[in-house]
Amino acid sequence: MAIAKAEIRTLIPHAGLMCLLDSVLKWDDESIVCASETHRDPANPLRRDGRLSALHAFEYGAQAAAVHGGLRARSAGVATLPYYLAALRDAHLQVIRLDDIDLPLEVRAQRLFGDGGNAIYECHIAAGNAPLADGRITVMLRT
Amino acid sequence: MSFEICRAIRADHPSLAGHFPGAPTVPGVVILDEVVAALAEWRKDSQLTGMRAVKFVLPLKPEQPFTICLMAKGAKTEVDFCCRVDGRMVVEGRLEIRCDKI
Repeated sequence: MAIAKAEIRTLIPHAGLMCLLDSVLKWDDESIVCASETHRDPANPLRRDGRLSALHAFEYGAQAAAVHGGLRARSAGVATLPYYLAALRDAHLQVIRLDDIDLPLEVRAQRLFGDGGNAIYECHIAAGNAPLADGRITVMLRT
Repeated sequence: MSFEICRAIRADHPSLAGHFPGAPTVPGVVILDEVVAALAEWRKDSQLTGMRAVKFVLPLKPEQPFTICLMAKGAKTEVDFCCRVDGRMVVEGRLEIRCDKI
């Protein structure tokens, strides 16, 4: 069953409009699939001069990884800890901007390795069948 | 060839209220947006196509002035960058660009 935004807010520290993901469609121990329509929101706080650059896809990816860390921590019965985006590798952009994309974003993150603390996720951001961005994201615990 | 410019993210940037409540920290992607804007000032015909590697070394606070340095390497499709605060590295990485110059 999908996890809605109110529950996502309990899993990551991102608040208000900076909580970018709308729902978790499915997840297991290795991966997570999220959906969002906030890329079209004129109030999206990452817009610059009214446009949402495609590079912000990696913030969506990092938040999906952070939500995944939060869900895994919760299911293991341990405290959810705040993660931050520590590194990006082999990141590719297929588009220039996200705000003109009509379809909802699908944000997939697959845990390549890492457990509890630092983790590396392979992320794919797409709309319908069209890939928008992909890359490897390292998230680290905020100390 | 290199290009250098000084920037700061204002305390009223809309991302900061939720990132994070009571502990505003400039999101890494907002810094990258500034780097890409600097690239557009330096090379108006270039387009970001990817990032080979980006490392966020230290957090950046609102209003903290930082220097963006862009450095062209051998390949015309790659630009190295670094962002520093008082000489200390905050973010560094390598951008992949496309030049649409006709």
